[in-house]
Amino acid sequence: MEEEKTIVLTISDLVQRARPLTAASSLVPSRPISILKTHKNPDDYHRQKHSFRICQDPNAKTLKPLNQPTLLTGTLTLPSFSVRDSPIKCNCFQFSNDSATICCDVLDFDSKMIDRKIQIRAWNFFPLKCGSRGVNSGFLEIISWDFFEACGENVCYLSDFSSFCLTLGACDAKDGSKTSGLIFGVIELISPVTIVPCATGETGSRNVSGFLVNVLVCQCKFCSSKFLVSELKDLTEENVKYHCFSKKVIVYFCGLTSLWYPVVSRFIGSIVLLTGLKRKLVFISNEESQLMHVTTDEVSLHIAKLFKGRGLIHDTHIRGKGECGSYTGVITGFYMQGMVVELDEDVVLLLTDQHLTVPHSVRVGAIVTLKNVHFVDPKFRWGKMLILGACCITSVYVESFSPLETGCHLKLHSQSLLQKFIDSLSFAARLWALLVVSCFRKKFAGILSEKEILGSKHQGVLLEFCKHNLCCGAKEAHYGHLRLVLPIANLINYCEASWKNILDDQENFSDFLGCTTSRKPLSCGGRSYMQSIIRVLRTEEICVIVLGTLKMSSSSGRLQLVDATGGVDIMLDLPATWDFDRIFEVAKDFRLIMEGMPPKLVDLDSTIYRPLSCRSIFSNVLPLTRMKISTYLYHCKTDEDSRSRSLFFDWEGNSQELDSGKFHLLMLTHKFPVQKKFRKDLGKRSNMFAQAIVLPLDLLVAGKYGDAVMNTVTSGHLMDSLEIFTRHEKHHKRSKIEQTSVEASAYGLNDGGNGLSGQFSASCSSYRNSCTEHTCVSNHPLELSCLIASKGVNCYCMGVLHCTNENAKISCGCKLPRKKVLLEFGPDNFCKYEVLKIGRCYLVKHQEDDMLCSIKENYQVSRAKVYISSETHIRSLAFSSIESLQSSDVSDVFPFHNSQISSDEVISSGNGIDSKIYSDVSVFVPYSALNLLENVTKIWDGSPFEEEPDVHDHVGPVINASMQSSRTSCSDYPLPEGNLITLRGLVVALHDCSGDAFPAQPKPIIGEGYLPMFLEGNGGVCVHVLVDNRTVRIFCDLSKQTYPVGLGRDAYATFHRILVLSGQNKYMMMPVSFITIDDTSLMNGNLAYESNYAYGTVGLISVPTPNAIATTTLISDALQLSEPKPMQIRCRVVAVYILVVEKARTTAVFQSSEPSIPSTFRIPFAGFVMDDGSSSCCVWGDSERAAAFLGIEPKEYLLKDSAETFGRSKASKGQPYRSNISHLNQILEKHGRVVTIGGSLMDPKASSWLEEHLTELDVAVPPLLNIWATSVSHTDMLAEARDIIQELNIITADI
Amino acid sequence: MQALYNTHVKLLAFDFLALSPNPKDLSSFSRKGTPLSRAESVGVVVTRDLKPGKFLRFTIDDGTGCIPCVLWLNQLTSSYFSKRNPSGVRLNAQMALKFASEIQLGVVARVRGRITGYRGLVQITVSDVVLETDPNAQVLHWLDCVRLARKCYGKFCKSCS
Repeated sequence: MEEEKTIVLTISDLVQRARPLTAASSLVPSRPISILKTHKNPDDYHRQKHSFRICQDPNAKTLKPLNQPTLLTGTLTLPSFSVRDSPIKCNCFQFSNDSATICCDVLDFDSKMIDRKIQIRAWNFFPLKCGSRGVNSGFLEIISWDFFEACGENVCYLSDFSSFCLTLGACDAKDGSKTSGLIFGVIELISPVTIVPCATGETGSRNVSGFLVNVLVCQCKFCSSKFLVSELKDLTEENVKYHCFSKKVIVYFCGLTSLWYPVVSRFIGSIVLLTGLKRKLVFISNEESQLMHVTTDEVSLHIAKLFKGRGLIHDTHIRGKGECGSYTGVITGFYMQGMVVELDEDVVLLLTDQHLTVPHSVRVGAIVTLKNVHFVDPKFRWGKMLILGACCITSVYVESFSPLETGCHLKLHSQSLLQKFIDSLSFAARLWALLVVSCFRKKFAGILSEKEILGSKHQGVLLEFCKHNLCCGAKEAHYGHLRLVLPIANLINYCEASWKNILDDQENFSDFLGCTTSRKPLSCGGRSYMQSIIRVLRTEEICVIVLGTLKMSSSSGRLQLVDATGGVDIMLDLPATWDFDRIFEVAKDFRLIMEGMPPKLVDLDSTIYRPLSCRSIFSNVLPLTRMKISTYLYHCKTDEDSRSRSLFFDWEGNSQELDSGKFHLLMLTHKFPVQKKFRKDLGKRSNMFAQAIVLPLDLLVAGKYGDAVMNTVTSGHLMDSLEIFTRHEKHHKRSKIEQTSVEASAYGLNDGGNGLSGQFSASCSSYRNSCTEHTCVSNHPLELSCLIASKGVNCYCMGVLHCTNENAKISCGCKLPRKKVLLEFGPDNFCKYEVLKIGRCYLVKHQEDDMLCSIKENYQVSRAKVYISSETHIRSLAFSSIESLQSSDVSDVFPFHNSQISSDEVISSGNGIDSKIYSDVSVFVPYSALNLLENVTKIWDGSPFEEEPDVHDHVGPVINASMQSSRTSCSDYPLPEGNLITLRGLVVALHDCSGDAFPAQPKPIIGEGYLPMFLEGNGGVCVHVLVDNRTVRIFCDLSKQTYPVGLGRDAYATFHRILVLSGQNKYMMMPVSFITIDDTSLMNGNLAYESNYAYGTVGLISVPTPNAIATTTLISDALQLSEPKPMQIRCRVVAVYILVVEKARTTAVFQSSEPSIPSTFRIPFAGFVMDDGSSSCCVWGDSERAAAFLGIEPKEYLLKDSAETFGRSKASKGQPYRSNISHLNQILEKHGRVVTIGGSLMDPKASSWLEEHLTELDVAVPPLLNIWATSVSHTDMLAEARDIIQELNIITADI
Repeated sequence: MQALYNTHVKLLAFDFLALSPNPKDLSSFSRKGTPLSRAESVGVVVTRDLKPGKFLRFTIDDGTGCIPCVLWLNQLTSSYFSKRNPSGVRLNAQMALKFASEIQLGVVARVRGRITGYRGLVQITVSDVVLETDPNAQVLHWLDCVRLARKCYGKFCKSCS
């Protein structure tokens, strides 16, 4: 009983409302909406997740329902696109009543409903704009319907056979009809409706629309007999089996029958009988013709009742190489104007075909079946996906309408060059091209105009890009190499997803732990810290290119690669001439380095982080939550400089040819960090400073001094110029000074009135003397001719290196005056500041009244300040020998390729970054002169100690410049003591360090220092650096200092001007300190240093004294020593003499509830009886040393931790501990290893301290040799054995 | 001279097997007149004979000879331990069991213990065992033995001086 009144609406009502509506309230559960056929998707693609997921787009709303049952009545008709005056030009069914006509689609289609009045009980409606004039129209999705009036008699002649009959004329398929006009078979595939221009003699030309259908027929004698039709009446499932539908025939539905398209397309795979056909030979092209069956005016189509979907068996094994198949899935997204459709969230349907039209009901949320679609597995390295490529044989129909309020996607076909180009590609390349278009749009949104991005104006970025790859990619079968140009936001998302993947995969994870993170938690200051996990991805490996501009991040002060979507930290060595407005390309030689802490279970919520998908690129939806991992790009230095090279942009050389004139040579000695307090407030950005030394050499580039003469040589003429050069050089070996002017004029350097003439040979010869005799050059100003090559400039110029100091005394080992200069950079010149590297040489052009000229040659005091403006061009400079040029192939265009350095060398060179490749200007001088020049530059390089008295003036507080650790300064709050020094080493570990925990000890135990008070309050980082095989700790305060990108484990870093703390091996960053990252071992993607360093030095902290590393001695020999002196003994624990254990909470230092504190007890000190075979001794140590002796490796804690972390029990591996005592017992079992102990005999002060404490505990001091341990480490058996062999050899020799 | 008495001397097997029992005190042995009581050896375990709950007998071959070793496993049953602190004895027993499980044929073990005599032969009554995984450990042990014999044990040698 209907309680509510049913409303009857007209179509024009709906169209006028122009709102999406649903009227499905008449649907009752007893009547299923539509029965989903279980289409089997190819197993290869694991489509087993048949539970159709509803689109998870949170913005999608369900359709607004009407409150009451609402009926629509009208007539369903075939499409009317061939009717000229119809506004609707599509292949949909039409639904019309008196008021209007709109497109529609029907779920349970019945042939009898055509041209009959029906009433629609459940439907969805969408407004549409129709045609070019934008007429308001709509689209009706008919969910359930009824005939308005009782249905008439069935007029089909073959009603026994057919469930469906569609005829143009009368249905009169008779027994014994001519078999030529009959086709009995299975519909295999169907083409879209196309319009063919057709010439028909007298009436001129008219267009014929039509579509082609492939029907597979059987060739048995029964099918070709004239009794076929009568036999068909008795057709059963049983006797269909005897037919083999294998021969292809083409049926052309043209003219009026072209309207049958929506009907025929529903019956792909069905068995049909077609009558009333004519055979015709159709010319496809000039030479080719094809036999076709063309529909006549008497055509009729019968669909067999049974066997629907039976005939076609697509069991071909789908490998993803373009095979045809069918697929059913839920539409989850439309992108790129409907050209890309996303199904089931990870399958991509490409609807780029010009002719293919899809029903309007193909909307997000609808379940669709695709027939004859190409399955392509693109094997892109950056993401796994399945592409379904639609082409002219593909048909799409809707199995179930979408309940969501999602609009129709009318495909717009543009005939742009880009569209044509995309259509010419294969499916994988097509998707790639569309992704790239999308990426470029996102990356340069608001930066470049759409036309500049996509083309038609100066070709456009995109076309240029595509054309490049077209030649290498599009014609090949595999597209795995196609690189994606990822927007940076997507790149970060990609990192997070791959990070998650690594950790997600349990097996992988254990593997992963095994290879990169089976580090023990770092033990430092009595606490243990979990160590981070690092993962390195090579950009070539993931086939991703990243483009952007380089900028300083206003929040972190670091260099970032930025595009419209975001930014990522980048670590690279920029050419000094880099134009910061240029687009930078990350393609070759880049690594993506991710570092984070082992995650907790909660972090691994897989719903948040999705792998790189087409969805994430096409749409702007990215996860809002960011993982707590640090991600940065790292440029690996190789023997080829790819930084300014582009894979696809044809940049006109960013050449910075040297003008002629005079240039000063500067050696950068220090960079003062950008102060953090200024970085936060952009308005208050401060100037930046760097310190340099003006070298006593100027570079005079010829030209200004020889205007009349052509003084640059192109590479083609390099040989000639080299000849001249060398001839000149050789000549001077025998020539006299008097001849100089003649020679000089030969190559145009001699121009009367200028200062370059004359002195050349004199300088050369005198200079040679200086080199060979190792004496100081005197009396002659040094002048040295050279060839100069600028990066990107394909020619060389001549120049002269001129010593500025009249009384120059340059020789190997001579001391030169230091002309220091402070370089000041305005806030706008961050880039100039950024590109400068400490320890490199730079060229700065001389200007009138140049400060660089007038700096006094005072050793100590003179300090001049030079403001570097945006007009100041700074170029990096490297010296090379001219012989290397000669020996190499001169035809090689770019001179820097000639430097003979293998990539291995570059990688291993550490600080010695191959400056020849990475410099902007190369100056070629004779080999003999090279040595001297290197000496000149090296005098200042790496000798920071000499600087320090000067530096202290800047620092302010008076700091005692004593390097010796003062053990007597254990007063309550001592000030730091020591020098500012420069340290270079391998960063082995970092850990959080809140002020109090850094090197603090509960009691002033010998050898330990306190952290100065002024650092308290802010969190910091303690960096463990391996310097010359010993680990030092450097404390950095995060709130005050800037940290370079890449400062992390396995980086070779130089810490400039850090403060030596009064304790041992402890240093501290100061406001003037600067960190440079020289190299990182991560570049190769493997972590080779793990085993070598981490265990020996970090797990067991090895802290020998900085001054001397004692050789291993025997205890029996140590007994003979009279005074405390550092020593090393290799021994094993025999017994624990005393182990003082106290509750951790009783001391202030361990009050913090740091989760990584291993247990509730602490060991303030302990004594162990040790034995090395020669004698015994008692070794004393504090908690860390004691832990090391006992072999406390916080493995148990790791296991416990990770068991909690990953939600699985590892109890089988690590024994659960019952109590602290049993834990201690376990610990005591483990002291069997041979360890090497560094330490010294106890001095009287320490002895009395020990005695006092032991007396408190009522324990006597053992009657043994007492040694205070400063380090405990594993024994390198091999090294020890070598030492002993050598020692024994000496002994034998003595004998 | 007593300096070596409580030290675990590192002796090669041929040297160890030549130790002679002290005629006055059968529990101590001497090498060239130097009294010794403890020794350390590194070598491959070549024989293994387990009497559960009683002892494990095994032999260590260091390349110069084979040193017989015994590891007692009777801490929980023997009356010898009954007067000691039970928790300590339990710990000892646990550790002995652990050592026994580690001593398998073919492993390279570092053993320490007291020098004792059994049926006229010198042996080590093992107090602790460490398995060596570094192949250089054996070489280093040989060199240690040679060096100690020359530099250290010789000094205390009566007959030498």
